[in-house]
Amino acid sequence: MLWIVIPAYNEERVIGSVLEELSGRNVVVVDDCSTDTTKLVASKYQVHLLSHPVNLGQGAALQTGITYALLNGAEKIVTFDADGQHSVSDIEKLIDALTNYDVALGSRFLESGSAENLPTSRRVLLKCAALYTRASTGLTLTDTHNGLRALSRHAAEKIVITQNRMAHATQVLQLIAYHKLSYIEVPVNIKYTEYSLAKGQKMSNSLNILWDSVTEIFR
Amino acid sequence: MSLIQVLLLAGFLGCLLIYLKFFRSALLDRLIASMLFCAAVFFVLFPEATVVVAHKLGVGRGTDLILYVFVLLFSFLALLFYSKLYRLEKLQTELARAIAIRDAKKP
Repeated sequence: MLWIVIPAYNEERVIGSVLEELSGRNVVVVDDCSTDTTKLVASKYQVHLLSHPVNLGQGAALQTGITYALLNGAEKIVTFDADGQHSVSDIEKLIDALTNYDVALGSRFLESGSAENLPTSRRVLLKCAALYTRASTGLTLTDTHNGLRALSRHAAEKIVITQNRMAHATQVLQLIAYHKLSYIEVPVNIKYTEYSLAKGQKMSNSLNILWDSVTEIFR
Repeated sequence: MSLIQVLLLAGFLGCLLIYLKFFRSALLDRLIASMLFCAAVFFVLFPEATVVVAHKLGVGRGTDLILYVFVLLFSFLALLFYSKLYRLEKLQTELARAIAIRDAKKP
């Protein structure tokens, strides 16, 4: 059984249309204690709705959703962003890749993948993140900070996210390397809208993320 | 006794009493706190003693020694609190996750 995990924080404006597109699938939405009506909007759809009683961060919300999916017998898990930047049509491509690999990672920079309206500053930042990942995990990837990925049950059991905030993206890759899981990048299309850019990571936060990731070894 | 000595002694005594009264800590911790208090009182009453100790350790002035020890202790405490904070965050996460899964709303 395929489960789609969507971490959501203050996405009332777009989560409705995302869930609309995903209707008919097994979806678990983890509301990370949003201060807007995200929860109310999500509750109108046929989804499993989980709510963090306090705000913990996207990494924690992802892990909550993954844990829940595993408890419910998920065979495959796809992580999907709530802000509308991912395409539902990419899900099948990721799932297909799971027949031969433990993990399928979406990439907007692979050939035939695409990043509509990606600003140059964001492109440079993502390249730096890819370099950091290569240095810290040895994985050579084109896109290290893509929320669209597919995990086999085996991989989902191994990848336990303890980075509650944004450094989880790097941690997932570190765990793939650590557990020697097989992986492949799959080209996906990321739609940058004014909304998703405003909601996405600010440049200034990248230093915080780096700090969280580097101090990991002390925990 | 000078005014600063009175202030320091009162401050240290206050800290020790609050620690012993309100923080139910291990006996060893309470012993360490009491010993630190005694050392503090001794050096407040006999500031010249710091110079002797400083010279023995290769430090020029007593006040410098106090500064170095302070920096060392402070760094240690910062690390201690950081790890404690991290453990609390982890607990909070586990708790929040358990609640979220328990109260899941199924379609």
